[in-house]
Amino acid sequence: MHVYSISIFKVEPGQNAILLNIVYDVSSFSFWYRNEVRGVLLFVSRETAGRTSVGERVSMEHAQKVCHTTVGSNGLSAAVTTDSEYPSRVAHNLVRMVMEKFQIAHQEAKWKSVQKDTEFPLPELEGILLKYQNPQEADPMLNLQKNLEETMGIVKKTVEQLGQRGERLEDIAAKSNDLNFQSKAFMQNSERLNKCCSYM
Amino acid sequence: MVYKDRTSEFSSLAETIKRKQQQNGVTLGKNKIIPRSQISTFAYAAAKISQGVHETSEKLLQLTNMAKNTDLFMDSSTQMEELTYVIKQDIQSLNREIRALESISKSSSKANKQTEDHSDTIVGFLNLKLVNATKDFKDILEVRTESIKQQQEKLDSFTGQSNSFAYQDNTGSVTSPKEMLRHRSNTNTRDDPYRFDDYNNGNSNNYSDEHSILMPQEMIATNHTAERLRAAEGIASTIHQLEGIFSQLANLVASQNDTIERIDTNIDNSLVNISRGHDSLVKTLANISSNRGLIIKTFLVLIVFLVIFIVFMA
Repeated sequence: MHVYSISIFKVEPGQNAILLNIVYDVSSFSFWYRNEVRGVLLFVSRETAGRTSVGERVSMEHAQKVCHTTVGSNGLSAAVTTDSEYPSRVAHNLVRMVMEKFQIAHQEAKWKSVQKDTEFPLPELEGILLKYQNPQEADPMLNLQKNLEETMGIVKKTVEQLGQRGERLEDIAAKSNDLNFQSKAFMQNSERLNKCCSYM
Repeated sequence: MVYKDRTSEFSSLAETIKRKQQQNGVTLGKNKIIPRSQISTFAYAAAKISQGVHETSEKLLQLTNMAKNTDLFMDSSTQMEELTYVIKQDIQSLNREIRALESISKSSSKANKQTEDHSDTIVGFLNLKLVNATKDFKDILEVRTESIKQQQEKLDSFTGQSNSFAYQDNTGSVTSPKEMLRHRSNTNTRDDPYRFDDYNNGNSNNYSDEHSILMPQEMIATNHTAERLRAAEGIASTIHQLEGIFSQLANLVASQNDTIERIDTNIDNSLVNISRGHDSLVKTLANISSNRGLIIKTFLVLIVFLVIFIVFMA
């Protein structure tokens, strides 16, 4: 489950999407192909972002990689490329979050007017990319699910152990019952012995 | 539509009578007992509504024919959608007009009970016809959804693409056509997913046309809200299971508590028994150890007896 790139575009219908920022994580590819992969990722993201309409959530699959993207109403779009196992809900949440962060960091007027690829730095993107490599932790719902399942496992083990404890307790109960009877017999015996003694 | 709609005849008759009366003169305005203008308005409106219902049912018939004509290559979906939209609008406006008609008939003071009954009957009749038309409309839409699904499956089997989409089929939830009149949004949500899917198909076709160098790209139609719903439902079910397990846990612990109390009573009893036995054994031991004293006492008694015996003998 891998996120390969996060990219931000300015999308205008009918034109190519204009790149505003992009971060990559191509460490899973071999060293010699990394540049090519970066190029492919940028190209796929740009094309997908450029062709989605406003408000539409899109997950394009291409050669076992998926590109998730959404276009906001102001023409800002973020695209995230992941592998096919990455849950698309988490990817779209990531897209939305990246868009919001970018809008907070850079005012609309600044990037609204660019006509070619410019760099609008967003330093937290690297950190976000790293964090979202593990979707279980990054997405609160998945996190909750994972915790709940852990808890379920622990509780199930506890129930098993409780069952064993119950068995042992039953065993002890039986033994204590025997002990009860035996001690009663012992008492009766010794009292009889005591009585007989006077006769003897 | 095999019924004979005679309301229009009646209303046209009423209109001619009204025109004759208007031609006859001023008596119309002075006659306040039966407000004739109101009756003819009512009749006019009723006539309009019945005409509208008739037209709508005709369009419905057209729609049925188009829906039944499900060929893979003759896709009249745009026409059908237009027609569906038009029919929807018609039904809505007819509904409004019937409500207006009802209010007219209730507000106008009827001196004659028969006219009142008659107008109520007319309103009810028009309502019924509209309801039937809506029912048919709903059936048509269901049929259309089914045919679209089948078309999609055929398309998939031909092109080999895995276009798996999940759109919510709301037809089961709508029970009466009257509800359907009010909940028009149901049909909207049903329309939207397969319009979206048509758009998706169109889009992916564009892609493969323009970038034929790339491998065929597939669009996964994701319904984001459905996924979130599924995740939330998963979490809810996990929590539910946890709840069951915890209650089982509580039951187990409670039963084990009983067992433990049994063990406790048993052990207490056996403690008591053993201590008593111990005491008696100690006593026995004391008895055994102090037997000599007893024998001595017995011998003394014997000697006393001997002495008394010898005294007697002497």
